Amino acid sequence: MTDVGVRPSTWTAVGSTLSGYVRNWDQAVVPAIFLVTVATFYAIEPNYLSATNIINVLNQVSILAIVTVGASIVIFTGGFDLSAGSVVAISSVVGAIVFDHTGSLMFAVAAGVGTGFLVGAANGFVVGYIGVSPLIVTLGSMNIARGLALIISAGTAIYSFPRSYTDFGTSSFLGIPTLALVSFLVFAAMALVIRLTPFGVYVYASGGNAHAAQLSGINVKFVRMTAFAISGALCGLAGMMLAARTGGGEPTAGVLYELEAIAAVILGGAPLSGGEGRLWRAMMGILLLAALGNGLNIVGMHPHWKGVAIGAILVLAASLDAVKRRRH
Amino acid sequence: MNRRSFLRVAAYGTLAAVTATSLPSIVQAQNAKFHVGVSLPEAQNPFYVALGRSIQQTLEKAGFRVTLLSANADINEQVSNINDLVASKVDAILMSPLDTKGPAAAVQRAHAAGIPIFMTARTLDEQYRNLWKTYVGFDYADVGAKKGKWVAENVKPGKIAMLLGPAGALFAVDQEKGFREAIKNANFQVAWAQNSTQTRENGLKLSEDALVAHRDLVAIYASNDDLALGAAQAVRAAGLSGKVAIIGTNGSPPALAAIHNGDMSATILLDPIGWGRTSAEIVINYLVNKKEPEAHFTPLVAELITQKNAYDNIPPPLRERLGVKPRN
Repeated sequence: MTDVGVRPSTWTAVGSTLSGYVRNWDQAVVPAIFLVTVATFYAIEPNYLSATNIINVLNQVSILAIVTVGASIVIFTGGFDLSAGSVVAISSVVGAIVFDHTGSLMFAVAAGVGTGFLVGAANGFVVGYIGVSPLIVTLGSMNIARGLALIISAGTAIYSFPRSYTDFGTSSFLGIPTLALVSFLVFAAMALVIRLTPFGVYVYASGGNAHAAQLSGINVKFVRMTAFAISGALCGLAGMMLAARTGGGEPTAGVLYELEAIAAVILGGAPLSGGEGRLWRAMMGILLLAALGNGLNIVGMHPHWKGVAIGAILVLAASLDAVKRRRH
Repeated sequence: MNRRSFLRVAAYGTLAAVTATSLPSIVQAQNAKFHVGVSLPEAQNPFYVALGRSIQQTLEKAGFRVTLLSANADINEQVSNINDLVASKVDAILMSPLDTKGPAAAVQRAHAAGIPIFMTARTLDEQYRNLWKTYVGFDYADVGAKKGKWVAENVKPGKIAMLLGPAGALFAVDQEKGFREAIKNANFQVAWAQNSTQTRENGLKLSEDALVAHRDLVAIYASNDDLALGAAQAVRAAGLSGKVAIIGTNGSPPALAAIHNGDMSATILLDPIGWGRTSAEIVINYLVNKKEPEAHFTPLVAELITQKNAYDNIPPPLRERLGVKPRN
């Protein structure tokens, strides 16, 4: 980061800020690709930038944005969560079943988020305290959660939520989709936690140099477990938001969400080794992926092209990042 | 509403149990000596879950021993499954191949070992037709044609969007062909088409995107009901209820309820419970009564469901659960 603000002269500060921008040119890559993407689709289909579609994209991205916030925090601690998509699915199913039992949306949402929290905490316990690689642990829990979601739902989607819940899922507040507001609030809250609380410091320290962090008195195991638990709870929330969009719990929902979220974090310049990264940049990454997917759909491109485009952008962004790191 | 008594949202599951107990003619055949192997392509697809359960219950009700193996959408796994069934010397194999060629060699080995083979839901390429006794299934081109015919007769000409289902899957391809053929001579234009996996989530997202580019759609074709229900959600959120006809396939209870309530227009009833039962009964008749089935193909009737007959096709125990009341 630049050291703007400690210089005596304003002009030096401006100079330093400018050179800071130049030095941090890599941060402009994703926003630049985003602008090019938007401009391209707008040129092909003017409705791409219509109010309807902007609301549409905000709605679509809101769920993945929340998953991405969770994935970011885990990655900042040097972890990795492959179970995200499956946790979204099982949470939506549990929420739907609980609503079916109780008729209470509050209980349903609590159960959905709670399910995610439990899976996440279990992931974190095995990673942090038993010391198994997060890749293996979450590969396992990815399968366990998906399997359990299918078992408790008997393999079919459970559409138990009332129309009022799906109306909430498609509602707007001051012209902004409610789900997008929810995900913005979650993002803002987590960004504040990461920036302003000791926990935020511990998160980066645990990822950057776990040994040093441990020596300086940080309970790295607990921090890792907490990061996974937060990620799980956020996936649970995402599952309940998905249910608000579709009206039910789908055991087959959320497939590959984890990879989109991880791709977004990488697009945001965070190394998988942890210790670095910014939440807002990961948000920029997921917004780019959503704008891209939506654009390809609107112009009627085959969805397989989405994979090609995302892959190419990912490798490009990561390569530029690597080039930059080597120079320093 | 008493929600507890309808906890089993696993509609198909309940239904399978109910229908399997009402088979007096077959129940008499207590044939524990017969062992039937069942090989299904996917364990996660609700359709195959219901189909497999119905087959298993029908066979077990008749006193048969059943080994049911699912391939998790992996050809190699289905090949090993079939080899395992041959090795355990089953008296018959009832199977649904993952694709039209992959499992052929394994089926040839089973055939060479003298095991009678029955196909259900999907079958192998025509060149292998001598390997199986009969194939119990729908003619998907006919399913698509029925949908197209309904659109041509009931919707005023205009733009159509197509949610095609998985790329390359025979049931999706044939259905699409049949549909396009049936609307060919009416003044419709397929303005937008996209492949995807068949979830409500995808139906919602893709339809939202399709409506951005083409707000004047007159109909949305969906390769199954989950996609169609997602489309209904998108149409409603866009404030276009009643202006866009939505046609699915499957006749799942939530789709029937949506048709009854006017959120969807039509579907084709594919009943995995009845389908599984019919398939199992053919195997039972062959083994117990030495009755040869119809050579190579046993067609099932695909029934068009519209608002007129949707209510009658919703299983009575589910009507209150789905919040539907008879129309006057």
